[in-house]
Order: sequence, then structure tokens, then C-alpha cells
Amino acid sequence: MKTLLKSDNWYLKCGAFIMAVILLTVLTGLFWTPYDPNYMDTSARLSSPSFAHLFGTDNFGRDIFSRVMQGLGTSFMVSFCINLIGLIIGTIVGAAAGYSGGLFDDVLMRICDAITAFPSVMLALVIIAVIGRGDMDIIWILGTLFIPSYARMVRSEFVQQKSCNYVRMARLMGAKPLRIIFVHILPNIYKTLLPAATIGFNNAVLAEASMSFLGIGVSANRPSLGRMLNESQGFLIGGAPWYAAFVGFSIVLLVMGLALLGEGLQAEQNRGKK
Amino acid sequence: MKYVLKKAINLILTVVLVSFLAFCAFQIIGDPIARMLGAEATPEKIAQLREELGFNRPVMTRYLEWAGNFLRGDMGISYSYKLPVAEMVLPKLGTTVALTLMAFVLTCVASISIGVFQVRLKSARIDRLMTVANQIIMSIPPFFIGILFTCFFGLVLHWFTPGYFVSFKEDPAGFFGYLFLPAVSIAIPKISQCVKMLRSQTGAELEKDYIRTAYSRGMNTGFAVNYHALHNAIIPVISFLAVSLAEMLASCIIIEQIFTIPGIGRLLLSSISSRDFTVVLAIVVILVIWVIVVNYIADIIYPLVDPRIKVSK
Amino acid sequence: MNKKIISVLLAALMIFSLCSCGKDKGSERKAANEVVIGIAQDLGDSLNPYQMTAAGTKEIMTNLYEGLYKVAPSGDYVPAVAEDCNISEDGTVYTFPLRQGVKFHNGKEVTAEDVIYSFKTCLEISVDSSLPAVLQSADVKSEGNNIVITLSAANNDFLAYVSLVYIIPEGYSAEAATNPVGTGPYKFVSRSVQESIVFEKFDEYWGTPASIKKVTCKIHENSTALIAAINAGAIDLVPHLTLDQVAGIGEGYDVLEDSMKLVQALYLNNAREPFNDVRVRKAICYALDIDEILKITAEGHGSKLGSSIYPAFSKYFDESLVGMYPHNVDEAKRLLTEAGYPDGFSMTVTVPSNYTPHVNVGQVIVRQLQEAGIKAELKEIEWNSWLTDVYSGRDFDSTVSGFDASTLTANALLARWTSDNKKNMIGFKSERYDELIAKATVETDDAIRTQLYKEATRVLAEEAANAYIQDLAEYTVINKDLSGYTFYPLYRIDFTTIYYK
Repeated sequence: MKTLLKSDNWYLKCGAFIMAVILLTVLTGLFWTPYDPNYMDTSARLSSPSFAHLFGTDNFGRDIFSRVMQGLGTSFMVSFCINLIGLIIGTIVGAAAGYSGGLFDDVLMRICDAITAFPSVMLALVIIAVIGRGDMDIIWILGTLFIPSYARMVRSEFVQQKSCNYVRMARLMGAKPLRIIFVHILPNIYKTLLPAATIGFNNAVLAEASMSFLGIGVSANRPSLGRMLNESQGFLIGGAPWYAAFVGFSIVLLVMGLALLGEGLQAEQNRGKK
Repeated sequence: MKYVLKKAINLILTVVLVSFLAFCAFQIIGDPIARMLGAEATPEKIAQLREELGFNRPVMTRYLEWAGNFLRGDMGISYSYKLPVAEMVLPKLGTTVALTLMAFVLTCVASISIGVFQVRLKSARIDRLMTVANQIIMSIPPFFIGILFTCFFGLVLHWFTPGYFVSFKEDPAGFFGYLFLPAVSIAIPKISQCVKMLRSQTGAELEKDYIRTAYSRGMNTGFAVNYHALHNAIIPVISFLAVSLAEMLASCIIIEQIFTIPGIGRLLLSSISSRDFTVVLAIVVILVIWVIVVNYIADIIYPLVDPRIKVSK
Repeated sequence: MNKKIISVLLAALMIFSLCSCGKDKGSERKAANEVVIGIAQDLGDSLNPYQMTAAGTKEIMTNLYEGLYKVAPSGDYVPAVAEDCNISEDGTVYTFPLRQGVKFHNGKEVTAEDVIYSFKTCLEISVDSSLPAVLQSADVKSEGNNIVITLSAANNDFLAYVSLVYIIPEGYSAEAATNPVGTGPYKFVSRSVQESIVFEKFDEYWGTPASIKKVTCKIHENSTALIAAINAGAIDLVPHLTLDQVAGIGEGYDVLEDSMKLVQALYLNNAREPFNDVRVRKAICYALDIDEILKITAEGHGSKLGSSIYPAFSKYFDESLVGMYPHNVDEAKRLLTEAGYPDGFSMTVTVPSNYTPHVNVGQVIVRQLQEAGIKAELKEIEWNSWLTDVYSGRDFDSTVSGFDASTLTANALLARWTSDNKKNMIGFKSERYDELIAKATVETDDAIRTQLYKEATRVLAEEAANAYIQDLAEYTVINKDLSGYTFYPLYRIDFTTIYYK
């Protein structure tokens, strides 16, 4: 913490600050919101921002601030799960490919190349529309689409580390491949993975928001930023332009916080290398 | 030549694979018949139509038949519109390609000019200001930019009428005029990413030995930046731009919704929800070809800009 | 370099702002006697008269197609391609003398062969399920210039069905899907997918000629764009708007209030537990606060319903049914306890995601049910899945949806709830109801018939077959220079009555 404050890495500082604020909001939103986010106040439809309703109310008379708090939580949770899937499976695939090499490696990487060539939102769109959508289907679909980029990165790290002396030593000492992968190599590459995961998180937030914006993300039972932005569009004229503004800027803030954090971590890591 | 051939085979294989997968996927989720016949359909009518459209035959035969027709330019008949798919898709493809290319040209022109401007800046303060502004702009998703633009330029300033799209045939100037703002919304995040990249790349290049050598020979900063560092810094930027051409297509799908542009993205979304899968299939295949061709072009351009990269495989 | 960027941007801006000038298109259109109508849904449909499935397609294509008879704004059926209709005393033989000199849009005159072909094709390919059933038992013949239809049994609603058999040229059915030809006051010019569909006045129309020369239907799926286009004067007429949308419309337009003409309800799957218990269904009715639903979704506009009939069917609408289940959470809880669910139960409320009004009402309903202790959850599905899973598959707990009437007959709304009807998606079973509908269908005395139908609607209400909500309020926005727009008791946009003042 102290080093963070003293550091001249502004990216890291700002990113950490924004993310801390957002995380605090999300955590608070889990236990307490100014209003029940689903409570509909018939007398206060589309009321403008005030002390009673910081961000105003939507067309159902629901408090937008409370919904944004929970919407941030949804975005956060969904993106986190997407990344977790991508990261875990991606690491396993990448490690296997990188460690074994040969034809197995070739085939896996070719598949990964093919998938990463397509913008993930476009692919997810087609898949979700084809399969139909349950509440949380978006998580595993996007999660699957996030696997290849992690796999590729982990693989290239593995290829590098494989020829390092400490791995050779371990092998000479008779360590089993699984032990080498998990105990020896993985701890050495997490520093590369961390900033990449942050950037992946960022992409996941964007992808989820885009999908929900198109109306095919999480269901209406749960407040979601992308969906709220889509709904707010109808009230740009005559009704409540602030609705779109507040929701939109919350997305921007979340994306920015993550981008800065990722950037900062990357810079920190580069510095470490020097 | 061998390289080109290998890539071409790769392209064909991918298209075949993707179209086949899409074809199969639609078999799993069911046919469009309920939608075609509406709420009042009787089971007999459904069975009859299913027979007529050949949904009872094996997938493989139907796929081969479809592929054969597709190669001859016959993409089938839309289930919902009853129009030939080629007739529906091709004009819309033109609109989307125009939008993407506009966004792409904007990105190239703006990012390189702004990037070079920033790199050559003497004032560190303005440099920092630009970096911060850039960082903020980078975080605004295209669809939100689209909404802000509709709101500000359309509803406040009345510079354009959201939704009042005119086709190229009717009024070419109006067509490009309408596509300008959507293209900007797609371009902005890419521009800022690109500027940032250019800035950090040039910074890195300037610290390299050959620049120091240049300095020691008495070269001034401006010259070093212009002729040496920039030349090298621009290579990754070009490959970044080529890749973003594919991503821009994805942004198009969303931006077309916001600005109600009758492009391929809107058609894709509506056809997906109406299970009009001859249309979906045609669009998916076109998109696949687009993405692969773009990546392919990037691969070719790469060695042209940087002779150090040799095409070995 | 700096200057270059600025100049490029400026040039781009200038081109762009130049292009977007020319706002005063409204007066241009007035001079040319043209009208632009904004519609929110594309006609993503076959234009074949017997295979149109979407209400949005039908309501527009009726400007182009006509049957022997057609529906008038009053709700009566009036002669169109036929001049008149003579019905035999026992009600089984209908004789339609053809009107002389009626022409198709392709210039051909209508002959008896065309009519017979149309009836035959309609029977073969119609996607409607009740129409072929009626036509099956009808024998259509031509006698000189007369069309004679003999029914196997009398059917009071037969003229209504006849109005749905649109007359097209002999052998034209296949082509009609993309290039429709009929006898109506407007003819088809062109359509561009997801952009527009254009109609032109048919100069050789047999009846009162229309006033507007060219009608362009512009498709605007995005509500913001639609409203912005109205405000910019790019559109003259927009039907089916919601109150929230109307709030954004500026001056220069008249706003006409109307209803959507459909029965919106929380349809309950009567065949499934716990909804097979009438006490549970009643509890749900008590749990819903219809006034609050109207207040939240449409600031109180909309007409409340008590049964499967909406007020535009004034003859059959029974107002006393509306207040049968006032909002009463205690009563709801009492009924639930009595039915053996003191702690409520879990249920899903399925809504078709593309129909915003149903989704919005669904959201309010879910909350109201939760307040009464029922663990309700909203489930959005696509229209396609709604049709296959909910409507045909009957795999649902409850769904918010709306049923409209294809003809102006009580049977169009009520017959579907008889226990053996294929369209009875809720699996409603009531012997008394079946009996009443069967009796009403064959009864010839109008007063008794009406009474029977009214009784049937009462059965639906008393059994709490569904939790009836409303006939939604909707608004039509029209250019102040235009006049004459006429509402029908059915889903219909009539171009012919519109004219510039």
C-alpha cells in the first residue's frame, strides 16, 4: 500500500483508486441500496435527479442510483466469471500445448487463432441467438470465447520457460510434468498473467455491456448496465436524458478504471524486468 | 506464391467449416416453421411445410446442396421475406462496407495525424493533457458514443435527423453525410488506442541505440523523430489498424442499431430472431470471408512495410 | 500537420452539415400529395394474402387486398368485389353477384374464375387455422356472373370469413409473396428490406378514390430514431405509439388516442399445478393491482378488462366483469392458504422479449405477485420460442401476452377457450363454457346469441381462467396538415381516408 502511494506510476494509482471506489459501491450494493432497486414508485416516474433520487428515477419509478449500484455488481460478477473461465481453462490448455509441443500444440494453436480472428461480441451474438438465452448463458459463452487469448499467452510463456535452467533441473531431478507445470512454471508467469487478466476483465465488461445493450445479455430480473442504457435510449427525447447519461458514465468509469489498472500493472511489470 | 496459395486454402477450409457448423447449429435449435406460419398454424400445415422445404432430409445432403447453390451465387430464398437472399443481403453489405471503410479511413487519417502531432509536441504539459484525454476517450464504448452523438448532434443541434437514412442511389452525398457520425463513433475508440500506441512506440524507439547514434552525428530531434523513430514505430500500428478493421465490423452491428442504418448487422440481428437462417447463414459466411480476408491483407502488407520481416512459411 | 488535421475535420464537418440540410421536406410532400408513414416493425413476412402472419403486415396490406366483402370502420361488413349478397333463408346458400368493372392492379378485370381460384388457393395454403376449417365445408361455384357458396351448415359469421379471402388474379399466388396484386385502392410499388415499402394510388379503383397519391411506409425499429424523425418533419403519420414516446413529440402534430384492440392478460396454464386450482388463479387475480399497472406503464391510460373481450366489441363487452377482482393482498393470501400454499409458490412469468408493452407489464406483475408472497420470476424469450414453446408447446406457468381478433366476431376471441380447441393454450376446461359457445355459434337470433356470448365471458371471469389486464392505450400521431384518419375496431391502417387539408 505504501509503495503504491509513493509510486510515480499514475496509471496504477488512478486505476486502483477508481476500482476501489467501484468495488466499494458494488459491495455496498450487495447489502444496502438507498431504495429497493426493483421498487416501483408510481408517483415518481422519470423524476429528475434530486437529493431523494441522486440519479433520478426510470420509467417504472425505480431509483436509478440503486439500480446502477446493483448493475455495476452484475457487470462485475459476470465479467469476473467470464474471465475466471477463460483464465483457468486457457491456462490449462496453454500449459498443455506449450509444455508438450509438437502436433498437439500446432492443432490447439490453430484453433485458437481461428477463434481469436473473430471479434468476440460478434461470435457470442451468433452463438447466443442460435442457442437461445438463459439468464446466465452469456457467462459461459463469452468465457469460452476468452479461452484462446489466454491460452496463447500462457503457451508462449511456457515455451520460453521450458528452456530455462530451473525447469531443466527439475526435470533432471525426476519431477513429473504436472508438478513442473503447476509448481515450477506457473508461479513464474503469474506476473505476466495479472495485467493480461485485468485487460481481459476490461474486454469482458465491454462485451457484456454490448450484449445486454442489444437485449441479449442477462435477464430483466437483474439490473444490468447495458440493458439499462438500451432502455434509457427511449427517453432521450422529452423524457429523461440524464438516465442515459448516468448509466453510460458508470460504464465508462468501470472500463476506465480497469484499463488504467491493467496499464499500470503492465508498466510495473516492465519496470521489474529492467 | 506458395504463401498466397496456402492462405487461400486456409480461407476456403475455414469458410466451409464455419458454414457447416452454422448449418448444423440451426438444425439443433429447430426450424423457422412456427414463425413462418404464425400463431394460428395447425400441426398438419406445419408437417406439410416442413416436407415442402425439405427439413426432413439428412443434414449433409442439404448442406451440400446449399453450398453448391451458394457457389453459383444463389443464396436461397429468405423464409420470412420470401425474397432471394442475395437480393436482400448485397445492397446492405454495400452500406456496411461503406460505413466500415469510412470509419477505417477516419481512424487512419486521424490517428496518424494526431499521433505525429503529439509525438512532435515540445510542451510536456500539453502532451500529458492529451494523454489523459486520450485515456478517457478510450474508455467510452462505441455504443455510448453513438447515443451521445444522436443526443447532441441530432436532438440538440439538429445537424442531422436520427433515422433519416437515405440510400446511395437516392442521394450519394446524403448517404455519406448520414454515415459520417456513425463512422466517427466507431472510429473514436480506435483512434485513441492508435494514438496511444504510436506515442509509446515512438518513445521506445527514441531510446534505442540507432537514434543515439543519429544524435551523435548532430541530427536534431525533429529529424530523428520524423525519419527514424516514426518509421519504425508505425509498423505495429499498421498491423493494429488492419486487425481493427475486423473489429470495426463488429462495432457496426451495434452502431447500425443506434443510428438505424439498414446494414448487414441489423439484418443479421432481425434474421437471427426470426430464425430466417438462409439469411443468417449467408451473412455469417460473408462476415467470415471478410474477417479472414482482412487478416490476410494484413499479413501481406506487413512484409511490405518492414523488409526485415520475411515471409518464411 | 496541426492545420492539416483541423482542415480535414472542418471539411468533413462541412460536407456533413451540407448534406443534412433540407429539412422542409413536409411541404414538398404536401405539394406532391405524398405521405410518409412510420412503422416500428418491418414487414418481415410473405406478402401473399393468405400467408401473412404478422398483424403489422396485415394491417397495411388491407389497403391493397380486398375480398368479396370487406370490413368498414363501423365494424360492419360491406360489399367490395361483390356487389351484394343474398343469403338463403336457412342461412346455407350465399349468392354474391360480382361487381362490374373491378380491375386488378395489373389491369386485368376480375372474373368469376379469379374468385374461385382465390377461394381454392386460400383453402390450400392459408396459415390461418379457423379460415380453412370454415372453407372446408363450403362449396364455391360460379353461375354466370354470380358466385354461389353453399355451406354444409349455417354459420352466422360467414361473411366475416369471406372478407378474409382476398381476391387475386388466377394463378398468381406464387408471385404474390413478393409482388402483390389485388383490387384495393392502393397498389404495390416496391419494398426495400428494413428500409421502406412504397404504395401508389390505384387510378382504376372501383370505389371512392383515395386522395393521397403515394404512401411510403418507413421502417423505424429504433424508437429514439422514430421520434427524432417525426420531430424533424420526416414522417407524417405514426400509429401504435406509447405514451412515453408521444411525450417526446413536438408541435405540428395531432395526437389521437385509441386502443390496441387486443386482450392483454396474464395467461395462466390451467392444466398445470398449482394453476389448476381455481383458488390459486383467483388469488393471482386479487394479487394484481391493475390500476397500478396502468399507472406505471401508461400513466393510467388503457381500458381495464374483466374477460376475453375488449371494449371495441361493445356488443359483447360486459362492464360489470371489470371490477370482479379488486386489488386485495389479504384475500389473495387467504385464498392461497386455503389452497394449501400458505407460503406461496414459485412461478415464472414468460414474456415475448420483442413486445415492450408486455415486458413492461410483466415486470410490474412480477413485483406485485412477490408482494402477495408468490415467488414470481420474469423470463424473457424470443417471439419464435414463444410461439413454439408457449403457444404450441404449452410449456409455461404464466405468460403476459395479447390476443387480437382476426374478424369482428365474438368467436374470434372466445372460441379458442373451448376445451377441445387447438388454440386453447392455457388448457382451460369448462363444460358450461363449451356448451355456451357451441350454442351461440349456431343460434340465429342475434339477441339470444349476444346473451350467450356474454354469459360465456362471465364464465371466464368467474373461473378466473386468466388474470385479465387491459386493452392497451396507444396513440397515433398525425401531421397537422392531414386529416381524415379513421380508426377501425380491428388492427388496420387505412390510407384511403387520409387527405391534406
